[in-house]
Amino acid sequence: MNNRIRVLRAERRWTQADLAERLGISRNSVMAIENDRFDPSLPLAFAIAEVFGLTIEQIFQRGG
Amino acid sequence: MTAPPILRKLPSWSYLPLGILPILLLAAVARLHPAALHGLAPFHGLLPLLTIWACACSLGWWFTLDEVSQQAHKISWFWGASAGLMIALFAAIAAALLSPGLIEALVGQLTLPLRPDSGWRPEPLAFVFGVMFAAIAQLAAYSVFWLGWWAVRRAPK
Repeated sequence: MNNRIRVLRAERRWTQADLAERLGISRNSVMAIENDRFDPSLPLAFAIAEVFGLTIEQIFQRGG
Repeated sequence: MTAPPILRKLPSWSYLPLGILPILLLAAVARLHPAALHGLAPFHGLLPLLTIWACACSLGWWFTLDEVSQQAHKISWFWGASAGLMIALFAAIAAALLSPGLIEALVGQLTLPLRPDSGWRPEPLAFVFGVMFAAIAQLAAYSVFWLGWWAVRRAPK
């Protein structure tokens, strides 16, 4: 699964630590998700979408 | 799974010392001042209690981890600890078949530091040594897999 988290985070000038704090997860976990190395569960995907004010489909796309 | 609010008050790393320190303290007292534990029956009362405490702390630790960290531990435990156990089994069988004298020598080395009045005989000591060897092999392989899992996840695709 591909995601746009890095771009969305940069647009908001958030650091990985900022996003991690908003999501209640560790910075390493943000890095793993952002690098497309870990597919989050549906609850975490919804939380990520909520933090960015977008839908899951606008953040995550199927692929590589 | 979300942690109950009471468990979110402490950072996840703090549960490890919280769970292990009392057991290490008991071991230190038992080693340095065995007389201080007389009457407490440490291995019949205190040790099981501290073990239950350590288990409770490990639950607290687990529920404060996020899902990525939990996945890292689950994968590492399955693959790493299984590999470690296989390595320990292979080493034990190979040593028993190829060089039985090696095991006897190891047990002999282990009994050397013990006092004559400690009550330990080589056979139970060998059993304890075997259990510890398997556990250490599992933990070592688990740690390698855990580090590797995070190294891969942190690297850009």
